[in-house]
Amino acid sequence: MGVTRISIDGTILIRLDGEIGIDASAELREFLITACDETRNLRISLKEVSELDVTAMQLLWAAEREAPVRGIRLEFDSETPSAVQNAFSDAGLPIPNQSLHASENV
Amino acid sequence: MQHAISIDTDQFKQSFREEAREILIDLESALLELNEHVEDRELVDRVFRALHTIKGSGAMFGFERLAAFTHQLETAFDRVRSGKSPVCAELIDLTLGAVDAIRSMLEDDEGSKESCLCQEILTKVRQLAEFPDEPSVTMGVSIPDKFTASEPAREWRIHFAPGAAMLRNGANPLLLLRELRALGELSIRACTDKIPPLSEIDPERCYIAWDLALTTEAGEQSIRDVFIFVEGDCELTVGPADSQSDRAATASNERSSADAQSSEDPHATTGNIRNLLCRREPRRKNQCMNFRVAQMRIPADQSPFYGLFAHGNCINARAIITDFDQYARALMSSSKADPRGSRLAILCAYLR
Repeated sequence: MGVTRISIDGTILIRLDGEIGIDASAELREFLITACDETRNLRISLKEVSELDVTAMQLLWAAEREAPVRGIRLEFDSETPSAVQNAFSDAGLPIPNQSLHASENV
Repeated sequence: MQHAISIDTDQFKQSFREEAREILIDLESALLELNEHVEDRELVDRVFRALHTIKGSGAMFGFERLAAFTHQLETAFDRVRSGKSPVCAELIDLTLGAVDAIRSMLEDDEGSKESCLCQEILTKVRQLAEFPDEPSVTMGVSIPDKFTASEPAREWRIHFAPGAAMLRNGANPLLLLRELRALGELSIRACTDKIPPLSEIDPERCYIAWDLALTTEAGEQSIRDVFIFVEGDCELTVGPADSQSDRAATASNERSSADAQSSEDPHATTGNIRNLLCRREPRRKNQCMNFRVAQMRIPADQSPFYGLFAHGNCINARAIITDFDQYARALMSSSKADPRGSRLAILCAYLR
């Protein structure tokens, strides 16, 4: 449960698992900042997330906004559980995979 | 990884459990009295308020199943309160049974062992109080105040911007938005322009604000009630969409407590704190979670805190609250983690 980081062939995978709330947000922020400094290929997996709060959503939103500017290819795992979709929808935010900030062109 | 300010949501939940247990005792007492005095409106109001408080607070602290269940009972007693349904022994018995179910849900909100019993209770309660099952109601979803619908459907514009401390105080904006959505048709626009770069984000602060359009039969008070536990921790404006002048008149900025306490004028601070206490009832036996004196019909001068702020004394209210807060933290961090600490911390957060 929480946030883990795996590095494979230059790609950093940040995996979120279980309930991601305010208790995990500082750690998630640090992982995102460090990953953005260290790699051009960043993947984020939300498929094991059972609950996502607004602190995590705004961190993911900020990462998505910054990645293209910094030349980082940021991809979210295609599988987005309904809990995550509902959380973004309830907050009025785009679901990461459907975001206009997607960095396919980087 | 630990970070500087650890937010223990379990402590808030535990605090809610303790408060709810006390409210349930009072609820049982009121129900038993009501059984003997079925015409007593004050007892009906007391039952309704207890259910309303448990529902609202439960939803606030993440007990969604409990909140959804209690909402149905609350609807029944709202109908009793408004004369649409009678009080009868069977309704009282069912509600007493429901109290036991709520106690179980307090301990295990995710559990399913009470589901059948709960559904059976709700089915009978709905039949007795003569209101239909709401299609959107499930045992896992928080359903708020549709019962307060008293006006034709109209569109409201709401601006909601969580304050810097709102998340640290245990509030969850998503639950509030979900509760708001249950009042009617809601369109949401998230304002993300205040989200700073990753390196500057305070991870425990909400930078997103929301502009909302809600079409509902519920009145303005029902909409504001959704935010009752965070009203001092956020900017909130509520106004009808169909009248610019109404909106200007109604959409008063409610960054009340934080702004009030930052005032340089000690008299103004005192007055604003007093006003705040008039809207928020400090902890009283059996009426712990509801801070609105006006709603509870308890005169502000009966508040144990009233004397601190009364008579226009030039006192430093912020310092007093800070002292209380430090005391609360000391209690919470003591070796036995005195549960009074988390309650006092919540009260301090509300007073701020």
